[in-house]
Amino acid sequence: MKLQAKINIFVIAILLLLAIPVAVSGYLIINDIVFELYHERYASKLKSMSYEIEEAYETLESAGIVELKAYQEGAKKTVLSKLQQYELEDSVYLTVLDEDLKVISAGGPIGEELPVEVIEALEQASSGESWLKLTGVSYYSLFTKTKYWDWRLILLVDNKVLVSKQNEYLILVSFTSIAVFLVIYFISIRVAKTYSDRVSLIQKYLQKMAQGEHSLRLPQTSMHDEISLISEEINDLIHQIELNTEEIEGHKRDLEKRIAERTADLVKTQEYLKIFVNYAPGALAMFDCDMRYIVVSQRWLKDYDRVGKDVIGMSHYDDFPDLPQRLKQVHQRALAGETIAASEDSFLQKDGSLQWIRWEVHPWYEKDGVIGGIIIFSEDITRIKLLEEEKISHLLQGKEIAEKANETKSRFLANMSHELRTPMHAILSFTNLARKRVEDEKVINFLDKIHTSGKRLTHMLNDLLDLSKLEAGKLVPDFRKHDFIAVVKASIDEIHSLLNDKNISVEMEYDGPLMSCFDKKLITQVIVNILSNAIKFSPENSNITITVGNEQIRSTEMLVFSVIDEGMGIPRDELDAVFDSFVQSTKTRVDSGGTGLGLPISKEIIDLHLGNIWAESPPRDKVVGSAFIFQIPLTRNCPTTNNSSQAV
Amino acid sequence: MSGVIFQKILAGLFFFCLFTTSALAEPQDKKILFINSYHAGYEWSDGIEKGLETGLKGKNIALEKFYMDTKRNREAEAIKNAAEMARQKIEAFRPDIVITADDNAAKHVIAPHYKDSALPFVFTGVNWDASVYGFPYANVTGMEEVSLIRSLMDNLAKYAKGNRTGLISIDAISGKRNVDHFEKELGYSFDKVYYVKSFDEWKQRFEALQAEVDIVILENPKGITGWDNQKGKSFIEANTRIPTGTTHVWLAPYAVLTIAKIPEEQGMWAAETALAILAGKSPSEIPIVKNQQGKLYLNLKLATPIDIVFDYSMIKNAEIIK
Repeated sequence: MKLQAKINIFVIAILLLLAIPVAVSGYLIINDIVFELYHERYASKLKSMSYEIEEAYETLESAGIVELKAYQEGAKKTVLSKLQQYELEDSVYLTVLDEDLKVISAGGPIGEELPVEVIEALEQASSGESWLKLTGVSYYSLFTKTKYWDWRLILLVDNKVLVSKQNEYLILVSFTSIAVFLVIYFISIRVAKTYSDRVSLIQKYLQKMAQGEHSLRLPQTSMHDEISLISEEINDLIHQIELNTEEIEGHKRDLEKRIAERTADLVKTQEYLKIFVNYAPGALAMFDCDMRYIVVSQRWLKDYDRVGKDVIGMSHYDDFPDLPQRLKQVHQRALAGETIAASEDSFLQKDGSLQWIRWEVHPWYEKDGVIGGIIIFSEDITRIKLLEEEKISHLLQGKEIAEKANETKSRFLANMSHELRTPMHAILSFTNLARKRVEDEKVINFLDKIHTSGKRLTHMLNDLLDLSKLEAGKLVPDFRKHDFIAVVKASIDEIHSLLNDKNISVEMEYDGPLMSCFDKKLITQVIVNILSNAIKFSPENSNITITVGNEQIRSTEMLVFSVIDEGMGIPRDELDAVFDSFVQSTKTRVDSGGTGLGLPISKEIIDLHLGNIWAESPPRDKVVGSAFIFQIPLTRNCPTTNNSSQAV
Repeated sequence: MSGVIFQKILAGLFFFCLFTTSALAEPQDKKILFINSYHAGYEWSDGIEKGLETGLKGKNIALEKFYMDTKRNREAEAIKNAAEMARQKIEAFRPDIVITADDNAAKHVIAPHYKDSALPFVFTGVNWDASVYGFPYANVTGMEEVSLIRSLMDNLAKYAKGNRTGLISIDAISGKRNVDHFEKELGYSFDKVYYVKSFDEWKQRFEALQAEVDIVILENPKGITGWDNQKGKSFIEANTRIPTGTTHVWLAPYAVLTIAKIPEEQGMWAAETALAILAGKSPSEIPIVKNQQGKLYLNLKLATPIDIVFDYSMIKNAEIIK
C-alpha cells in the first residue's frame, strides 16, 4: 500500500474516531446549553417585568402618592401596557394575575379563567418553573410573584420553541462539524498527496542515481520543510560521495603505487636479508616453535659441516641428534621468552679437542606478539680462546718479572739509600769538622757548599726512601687518636725559624680541639711539607692562612685542612702534575731547592689515610697565591693495627 | 515560516506601541477661552460652565475662564471695562476658540470687536433672539436661550377644562417683552394678560384669572412691590383652581406644572460645537440653535386638590414638589 493511501486511511480513521464522541457529546451539550439559554432568557425577561412593577410602585411611593388610587391605577395601567408590549417570540405567552389571582392580562392557552394546572402550580410555589400540559400542549412555564401589588407573572413557552431551537443548533453544529471535518480531510489528503508525491519523486531520483546517474540532483522547491531539507541533504550527500569517490580513486592509485614501491622494497629487503644471511660472519639460524629451520646462514652450514645440505624445514634435533640436553633446555627457555647467551662454551670434539663456542639464543615474535620461534647465533671462538690463553700466559710471566724487578728496585733503593746515607753522614760530619778548623774564607765557602749539597742529597735520599716504601706498600700507618689542632700547632713550631726568616705571619682558623685517628708522624710530615712550600714561595712580610675544620662529605665526616699563601701561584694546567714525582711547577722550579718528591709523598700519605689532597690557584675568593687542601676521614674509633709504622 | 509570522507580529506591536504612545503623549495644543458675562457663583452661568467642562473633559483642551461680573456691576462703564479686559485676555491668551455665556459678552465683546474675524466664537445664553447682535457672523455661531413655553402649554392643556389661556407678569418692559416672545413662540396670543405692580394686585389678578381662563401662566414676579414668598405660597395653595404653569424654576412651588430650561444643555452644546470647529468645521457651517431640553416639576400639593392626576410617565420623569 502506498504512503498516500495509508495517510488517507489514517486521516479518515482519526476523523471518524473524533467525530463520533464529538457528535454525541455535542448533542448532549447543545441540549443543555439551549435549555439553559432559554431558561436564562425567559427568567431574565420575567425579572425585567417584575422590575417594571417595582419601579412604578417605588416611583409613586417616592412621590408620596402611592396610596392615591388614581395614581396607582394609572401606574398599573401604564405598567400593564408596557408588559404587554414586551417582545416575545411566537408560542411564548405572558399572563398577568392580580392580587386576587384574577387574570388581568391573558396570553396563549390561559384565558380569562385560570386553568386548574396553573392554579396547582401556583399553590405549590409562588415563584419558580415547571412543565405544564395545557390543551394537550406541553409548556415550559416560569412564574413569579411581584414584590408590590402581589401580581403573578406567568410565562409559558411552547415546547416546540425549545425543540425547534435545539434542532436549529443541532443542524448548525452538525453541518459545521461535517464541513470542518471535510475541510480537514481534504486539506490532510492534499497535504499528504503533496508530501507523498515529493517522497515518490525523491525515490525515483534515488533509483536513477543508484543505477549510476550520479550527475542527477533532486529538484529544489521554495518550501522550506523537512522534505526539502532531506532533498538538500541527499544532494549534499551525493556531492560528498562524488568527492569521496574521487578521493578514494586517488588514494587507490596512491596505494597501488605505494604497494609497488613496498613490494620492490620487500624484494630488495629479502635480497639484502639473503645476502646478510649468506655472508653474515656469524652462524645464524632461525627456527619455528618446533625447532624446524626457517632461515640458515652460509656460515652456519659451514661451521657445522652442512654445506650443500638442504636443512630448511628439517628439525634441528634431527640435524643434531647428539645435541646436549642442556642446550635443548636453553632452546625451551628461549621459546618461553627468555634470551640466553654464553660468552664461551666448550664442546668436546670427536678428536678429543675442545671447541669453544660463543652463542646467543633469543625468541622472535610474530606481529601479534606471540613467540614464533627462536634465533640462534653462534661463533666459533676456539682460535680466539687459544690466543687469549697464550696472551694471559705471557702477561703472567711479565707480571712476575715486573714484581721481581720492583722488589729488586725497592731493595736496591733501600740498600742504596742506606749505603749512601752512611757516607753522606761522614761527608757532612767531616765537612762540619773541617769548617771549624779552616780559616781561609774561600775554603770555608767551599765547605759550606759541600755541606749544603750534602744535606740536600741526604734529604733527597730520605724522600726517595720514604717514597719507595710508600709505593711498595710497606709503610703501615700507625693510627692513633690525636688532637689534630695540636699536631698543626706543633708543625708550625717546627718551621718557626723559616717563618721568621721571611717575616711571614700565620693565621690559624679553627673551632677547638679536633680529635681523630691518624698517623701523627705521617700527617705532621704532610703539614710541614705543605707549610714549607707555602713559606718558600710566599713573599716576605706576607701572610699564610691555615684553616682546620670538619665537614660532612657524602655521609662521611671529613677533617679538612688547608693552607693558603699569597705567593706567585701555580698555573692551572699544572695543579694536578705537582703531585707527580720529581715534578715541580714551572713557576717555582728555579731556585726552589726542592726534590720534587714532597707533594708526591704527601699524596701517598693522604691516600694511606683514605683522603684526598689537591691544589687550587688562585684560592677560592682570592686573586693571588695558592691553596693546598687535604681531607681525611674524621674517625674517633681507631682501627686495630700493630703499633709499628715501619712494616717493610 | 513561524519565524516570519513572529517577525510580523513584532513589527505590528512595534507600530501599535508607536502610534498609541504618540497619541497619549499629545500636548494640550488647543486653547479655549470661556468668557462668562457674570461671576462665578451665579447659578445659571455656573450651569453653562459645568456643561462646558463636562463636554470638554478628556479632550486634551486647555480651558481658560474669564468672568466679566456684569450682573453685580451693571453700570455701563463697568461693563465697558469688563469687555475691554475680556478683549485683552483674548489677545494675551490667544485661544483657538472663544465661548461666551449670556448677553453681555455677546453684546460688548463679540459684536464690537470680532465680527467676521479669524477667531471663532460660540455664544450661549443669549435670550430669545441673537439676531439683535447681528449674529450669525462668519466666525460666530451659538445657542439662543428660549423658554419652553410651547411644551408647557401642551402639557397643561391635557389637564385643563377649556382652551382659554391667561398670563400674569410684572408691569415692566422685561415682562412685556417676554410675553411678546411667548406669543411669538406659541403663535397665538393669551386670552388674558395682566401686568401688575404690587403683591396685592398680583393676588387680585390671579384670583380673577381662575374664573376667566382655563390655564394660567405665571411669569417672573421679581420687582413686584410687597412680594412675600410665604404669603404668595399660602395664597396660591388656597386659590389655585385651574392648571397653572411657569418656565421659571424658582416659581415651581407656585405653579401646578413647571418646565424649566437646563443651563448644562447650553454648555454641552457649546463644547461639542467648539470641538467641531477645532476639528476643522467653520462656524458658518453650524447654524444657530435654540435650547430644547427642559426639566419637569410637578406640584402635587397644588394638583391633587384640584383633582389633577398626572400621567405615570410624567410622575416618573419629574421632580415632585410635595
